[in-house]
Amino acid sequence: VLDSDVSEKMRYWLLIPDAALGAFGYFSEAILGLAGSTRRWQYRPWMVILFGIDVIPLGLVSVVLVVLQGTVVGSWCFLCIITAAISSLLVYCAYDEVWSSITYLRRVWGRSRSIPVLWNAFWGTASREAAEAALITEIS
Amino acid sequence: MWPRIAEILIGLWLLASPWVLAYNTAVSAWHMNGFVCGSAIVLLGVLSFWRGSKKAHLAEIPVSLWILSFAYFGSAHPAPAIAQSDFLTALFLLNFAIIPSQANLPPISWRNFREEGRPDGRPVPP
Repeated sequence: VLDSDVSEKMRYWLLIPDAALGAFGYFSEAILGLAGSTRRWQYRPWMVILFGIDVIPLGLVSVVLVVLQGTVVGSWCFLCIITAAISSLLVYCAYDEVWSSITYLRRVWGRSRSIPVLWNAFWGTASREAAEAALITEIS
Repeated sequence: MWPRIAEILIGLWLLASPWVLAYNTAVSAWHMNGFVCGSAIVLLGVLSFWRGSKKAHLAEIPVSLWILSFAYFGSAHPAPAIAQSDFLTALFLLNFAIIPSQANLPPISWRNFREEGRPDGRPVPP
């Protein structure tokens, strides 16, 4: 797998081995997962959405790669199966926060119907509509 | 402030890496690029610790993009070790540079909003 023609071609396009890019992907998940507080779905939706873009497609891609191993390559790689399992678990752990952020932004949009207010809420600027959208859920 | 400390360390690696990974070649564009960009990253990371220049770390984003494109377009296949190192280092740097310095606290705007209180006077949950 590491010295195949496909791998060499990928290296030609990417400059670095694709495994290094994968390692960077997981590192990036760790950094974006550590940054910010538990309430960042409200304070920094951009960070949560970026985390979601990082985690969810990556998890799905690694599952697809494992399926390809069985169907196309015809042999299995133990470490790849483990990483795919962990990635799927991460998708499960991450999606609720991403969902909270999207719900929050939808509520801000529902209240304000204003793109600048939504834009500011996305980048973490406070406004009356954003506060209302974030607080109602906590009271009820 | 942990992203800033990581960036300063990465900047030091950018400074040092041409002399580690391309030690047997004459001083080249890689050495110059590593020196200039590494110094810039260290400087911007340190500047972020002052209140007046706390957003300085955002200026690391264009610097990282420059390192990324210099490594990608400035090297033939197979890429030399220094190009691969610069490429990967720039990716790491981009990741750190977007993290706010006080990411555990609410943004300034929300902190001010909480101090002013809600319009209806009820206490605001943290």
